[in-house]
Amino acid sequence: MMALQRYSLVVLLLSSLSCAPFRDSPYSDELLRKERSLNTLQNSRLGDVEADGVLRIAVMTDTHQNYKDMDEVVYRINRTADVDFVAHLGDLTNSSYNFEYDQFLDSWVTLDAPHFVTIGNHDAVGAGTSLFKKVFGPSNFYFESATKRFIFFNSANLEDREGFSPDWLLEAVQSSTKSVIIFTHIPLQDEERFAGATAQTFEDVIDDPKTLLVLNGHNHSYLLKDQNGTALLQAPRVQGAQWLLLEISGTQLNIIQHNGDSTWVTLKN
Amino acid sequence: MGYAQKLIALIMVLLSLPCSAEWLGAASVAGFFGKYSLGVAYVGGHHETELSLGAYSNASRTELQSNLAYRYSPWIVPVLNNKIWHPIQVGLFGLFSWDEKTYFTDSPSYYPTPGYYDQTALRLGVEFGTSLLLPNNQWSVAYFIRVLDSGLIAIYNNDRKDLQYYISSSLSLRYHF
Repeated sequence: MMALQRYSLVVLLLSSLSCAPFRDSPYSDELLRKERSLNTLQNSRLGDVEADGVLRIAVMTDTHQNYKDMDEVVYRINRTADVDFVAHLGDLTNSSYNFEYDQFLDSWVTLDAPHFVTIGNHDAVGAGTSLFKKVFGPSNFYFESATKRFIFFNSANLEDREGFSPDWLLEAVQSSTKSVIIFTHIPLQDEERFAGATAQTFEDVIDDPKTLLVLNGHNHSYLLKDQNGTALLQAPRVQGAQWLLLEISGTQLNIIQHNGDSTWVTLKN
Repeated sequence: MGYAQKLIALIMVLLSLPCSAEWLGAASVAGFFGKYSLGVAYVGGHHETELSLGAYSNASRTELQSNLAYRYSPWIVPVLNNKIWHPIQVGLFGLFSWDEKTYFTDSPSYYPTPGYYDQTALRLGVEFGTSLLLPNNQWSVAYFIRVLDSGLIAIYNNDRKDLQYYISSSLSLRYHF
């Protein structure tokens, strides 16, 4: 009788865990979550982001597997008034496995404001390029507001050779009739990855009169530089619930860090 | 030694084991072993070792992975007409992708520094299962739940109780030779 009870308990335990889905392989590009083409979808949710004269952009980056910190950042962004959109600067995952994309989406889709993602180098290894395209859409894209073009650029040159196109970025900047803000993962002046003609193309992008601000992640720490009037802003990683709120009004940019520290920058006219 | 050669070597080791043990052929779905997988298992008393080849899809290509599992059954229960029921099997498993272009054991040399990325080709995990021999004594069915190492690490680091993305069910139909 004791044995029967023990066995019954075992069967019961297994049954209670049987909500586990039937997942094929961690190596595939199959996802449990159903969200698709999210960047494209979010574009249709954008209203007139400059209607009140202030553009507010929340920025986070390099989640990797810090899901608890990301939950905290999402919570804080959702409690911040009038955020026009949220930008993630890449490295949502550590190794681009399908379950990592699923886990990231679990938090990401709870953001209230429209939200956009740029691909990071860690998101493009393994099945990552296929997964990113499936979930978010093209890795190079832009959208516009009344006075700005927001460009999301795939800078993962070693991981996604097909998706990496400096010429695309230059064209997107030069063809714009509006001021430009660029969101990318790897800094365009990264000497480990970019040299020669590619480095020169990126210098041309940064020095373009229309380019106001270039944002990047990748290096995990906050850094603000100026190059000939173009602000180069590196966002800190999400670990420690770090994120940035950018408030742009006219030529004034206010960068508010997660701890409340605030820095004013004058952008190009 | 290439991946195919390693697999052949492992099969030869398994084939050299005592013939008095029981051999099974297994066809499975899901459970991280591939959308479908086929393999052989060697059962000796409370211990079982299974080697299988699984198929999965990436960017519309079909790729292969090899899977190795060791299981232990603390109880072996005779049921009706001396059939055997393994109420619970606990074990460890390893997965290995054959897609060398996409997954690697050593970070490729074209990245900026050695060890730029952690290896991605090999994944480990734990499993729990139950299997039941069918009345004809020739076939059995098994159900497994598997948890990946990445999930265990993420759950530990994040105080999260959400297992759903790191856990998978599997059903297996096994033929007893």
